[in-house]
Amino acid sequence: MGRRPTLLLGLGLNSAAGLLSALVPGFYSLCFLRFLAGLGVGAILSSLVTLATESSPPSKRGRNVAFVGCFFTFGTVYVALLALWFYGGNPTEKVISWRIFVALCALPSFLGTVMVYIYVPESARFLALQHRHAEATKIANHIGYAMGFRGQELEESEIQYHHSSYRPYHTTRNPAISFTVLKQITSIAMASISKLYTPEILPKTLTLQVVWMTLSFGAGLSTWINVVLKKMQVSNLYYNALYYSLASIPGNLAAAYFMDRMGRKTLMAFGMLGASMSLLYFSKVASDFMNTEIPNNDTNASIATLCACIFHAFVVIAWGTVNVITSESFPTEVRSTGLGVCAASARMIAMFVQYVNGALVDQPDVLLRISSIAMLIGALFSMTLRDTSFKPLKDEISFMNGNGKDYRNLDHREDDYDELIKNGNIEMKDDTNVDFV
Amino acid sequence: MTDQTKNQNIMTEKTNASPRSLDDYYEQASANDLTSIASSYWILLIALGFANSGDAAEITNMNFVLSNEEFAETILLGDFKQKGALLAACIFGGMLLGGLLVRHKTQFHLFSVYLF
Repeated sequence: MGRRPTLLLGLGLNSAAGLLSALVPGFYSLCFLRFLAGLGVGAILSSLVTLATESSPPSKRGRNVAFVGCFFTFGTVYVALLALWFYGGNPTEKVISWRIFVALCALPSFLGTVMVYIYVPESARFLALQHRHAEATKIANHIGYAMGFRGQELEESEIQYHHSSYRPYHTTRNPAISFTVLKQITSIAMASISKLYTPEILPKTLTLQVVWMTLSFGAGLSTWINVVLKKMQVSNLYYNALYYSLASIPGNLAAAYFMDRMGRKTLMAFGMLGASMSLLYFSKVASDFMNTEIPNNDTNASIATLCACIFHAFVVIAWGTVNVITSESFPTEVRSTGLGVCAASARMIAMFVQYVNGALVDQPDVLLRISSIAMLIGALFSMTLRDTSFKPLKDEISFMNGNGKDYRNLDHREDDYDELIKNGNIEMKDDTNVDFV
Repeated sequence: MTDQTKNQNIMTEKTNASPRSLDDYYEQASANDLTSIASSYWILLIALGFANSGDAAEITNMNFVLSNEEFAETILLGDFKQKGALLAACIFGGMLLGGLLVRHKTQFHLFSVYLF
């Protein structure tokens, strides 16, 4: 299945689940629709980056993927503005139903579905890998024309030259489902995952997993931040929620600015430590409020909101950095699997933490303190990571030199790796094989 | 003669230039990218951007729904501990499974052949 159909399927699922959520009779049907929306999000996130990457010239890949990534903030701000418009001036919150709100939240997905359907062609690279050379050529020329290029068009023979020796990506379109084949696929998957736990990279894998899981644990608070602020009787809740959403803009800018200047490792620890400290102070404010039993005043409310916004900005820095440091830490042969395993662990924790947050929502100070501790643990673990800034990407877990000597025992040392490159024992390969679960 | 050398010969005879890869071609085509900032290529990126904002809206709207009084009273019946948590967890469960199913560049891509 191509990138474009996957993306459209994800967007369609998202839009349908969002719209149908407005009509649900009860709780469990809503849960089912939220699960379907999640399936859609998973499909979108996986195919979106690949499609943006493969439709971009190599020198502008980073810029284009970042441009597409910026729209995430647009989505969160849209939801916050919608809530402000619906409920901002309405203390009872009962005039406009949450059902209409949920239905309108599906609007960006719906718009995305229509726009992708009209304007986004399948990835030419994907078609070329499937030996669909004529279609690939047509799409590549379409994109070239859209870029404003009026020179000599790409010819089918050029794509054939580069792609004819490749095995088709999916060997068959409608394979028979058999237990044996499924077993084989599972064993291939397990073999690839087990490579992550070989002694050479085991410490790296486990450290990164802890960082992803603690970050996901702390960031799980985002779903409950309005409930927490409401428990603290913060007035103008929806203005505060808007500020909270907007805080991701400075977060993104800071991540982009400091990524190379500060180095990934320091920025990762800085992001998680900053998030931890802001939550710690937030919990102190919440604790003061809970213990004094007097109505919350505006100063406390402003400090609580400010802490939440700072927390969000730091979380955005940490999410941005963890993706980069993870994809750079794993060698090419396990990079995608490594990212997948880390992201999957994070998703599992994201599910688990909702129960922790739900259980502690009546004690916001405790909830905030626990999230703060999780972030602190993540910050400490990220300090033990090796900085990957300006380091060449590794391709394999172990290397052989010209004499066939195994460098397995040395390859975890960056100096040796640099030495190998200098001596021409190994070569750097261009790698674009980075995507997210 | 392999396919590759055969194709290379065809190319050499035809254009007398080395065959361009997709990356080469996109690079060549985008050489004046900045001057054509209004080019329809940007609509492609904006369309992908809207797709991205769609999933952002789906992920974040629960924050507002959970804090909505009408919702808490009529759907959650005031139960944040079990129902609120389950509802908030559902989307991440879906994301986990959805992500695994469509990961083209890993071994998991084969699963998508079976399931879609």
